Amino acid sequence: MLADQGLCGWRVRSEIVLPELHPWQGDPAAGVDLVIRLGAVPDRLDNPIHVGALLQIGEDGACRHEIEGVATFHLDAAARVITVHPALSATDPAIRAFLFGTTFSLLCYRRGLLPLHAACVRVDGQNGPGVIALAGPSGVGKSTLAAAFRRAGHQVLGDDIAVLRIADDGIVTVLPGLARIKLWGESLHGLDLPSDGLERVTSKLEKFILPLDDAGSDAPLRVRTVVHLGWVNDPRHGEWRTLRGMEAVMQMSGNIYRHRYLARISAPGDSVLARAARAAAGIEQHLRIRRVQDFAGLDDLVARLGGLDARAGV
Amino acid sequence: MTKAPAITLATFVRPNPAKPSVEIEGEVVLMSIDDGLYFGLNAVGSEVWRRLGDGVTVAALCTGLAEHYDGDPARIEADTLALLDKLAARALVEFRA
Repeated sequence: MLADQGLCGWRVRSEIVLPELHPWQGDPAAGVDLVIRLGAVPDRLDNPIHVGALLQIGEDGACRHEIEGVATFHLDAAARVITVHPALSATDPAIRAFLFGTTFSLLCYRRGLLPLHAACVRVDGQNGPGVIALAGPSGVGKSTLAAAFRRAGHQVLGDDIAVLRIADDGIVTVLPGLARIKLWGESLHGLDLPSDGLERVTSKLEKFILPLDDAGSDAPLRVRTVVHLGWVNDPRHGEWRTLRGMEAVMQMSGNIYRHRYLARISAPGDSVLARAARAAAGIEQHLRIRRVQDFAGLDDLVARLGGLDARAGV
Repeated sequence: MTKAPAITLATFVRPNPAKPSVEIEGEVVLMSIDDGLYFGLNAVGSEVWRRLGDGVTVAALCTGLAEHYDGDPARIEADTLALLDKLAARALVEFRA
């Protein structure tokens, strides 16, 4: 049996080796919060309320997600057990990539949390330590920017899904996540980072897993800023501005990971948009930054954001 | 459909407690979660919303706004009544005559 590990403050017991998690450092007597096991997954859920090409949702809340040629994942009704039925070797990194994608986001949402499609970096501002979430769609440069923050000496807390908790008082924190950054070979090269010895996200992709030794084990930190990233082809069309009200809510909602899937498992009165709005209101600052995707401007962007004097630039 | 009573200066108005709102950088978003509708207020609308507090008469609301914006009271009154009508149509505010 593998040693228990920690994720989002939960004690995780997995039959799959998960190098992106740290060993469990909480109470040795604590119960297991999440089990990840290998086993059979039914082709069809009982009493499905949704049957899509990839995703099924059961009336009891169970979810089945199939990635052809990789694995089928099953989340139980209590959101405590993930069963993985691999189509590849169980140690293939592609299985972890999908496990920590849609299935993980469904799990987080079912547990009352909000999975934001964002990398998170720590900044130490005037009001104490806080987090900047770098949010945006796949390919926008979240991980590359996070790696640039790391190069500048900032701690990176995760690179793809930021698990947000909205406290009763409205304060939004990010839970300790996966201790890795996934980077394309081109990004590693642009950041002068070697790819030698790095594991690939999947065997077919020029995308690599950069482990983070210093992430994932900390207490939740307050999210002070969300940067909603976008790109432009012409620098004259670049943008850097504060988002207010509805615009901030819509950007936040659009950057919730797999928000269309999550909408299908939402309870009445607790829609993805409502949860996103509450989260948006609990974060001090929302910035819309659209820029040309080049490596040359990264250090300036890190300096401008990292000082958390971002307001001065608005 | 029964037409809602006209809003006058004497009407007491308050936010509908069943419709949550959030404020981000000074702009208010009102949520009608059951029907999935969201309403963003601009800076002035957000100021009106903040002044509703736990409830206020339309007259007191308009007086406060006229002082705050140092504007023409008649114009402010007309604009405020128009906004309250829109909010009422979505049940985002409640009235007492």
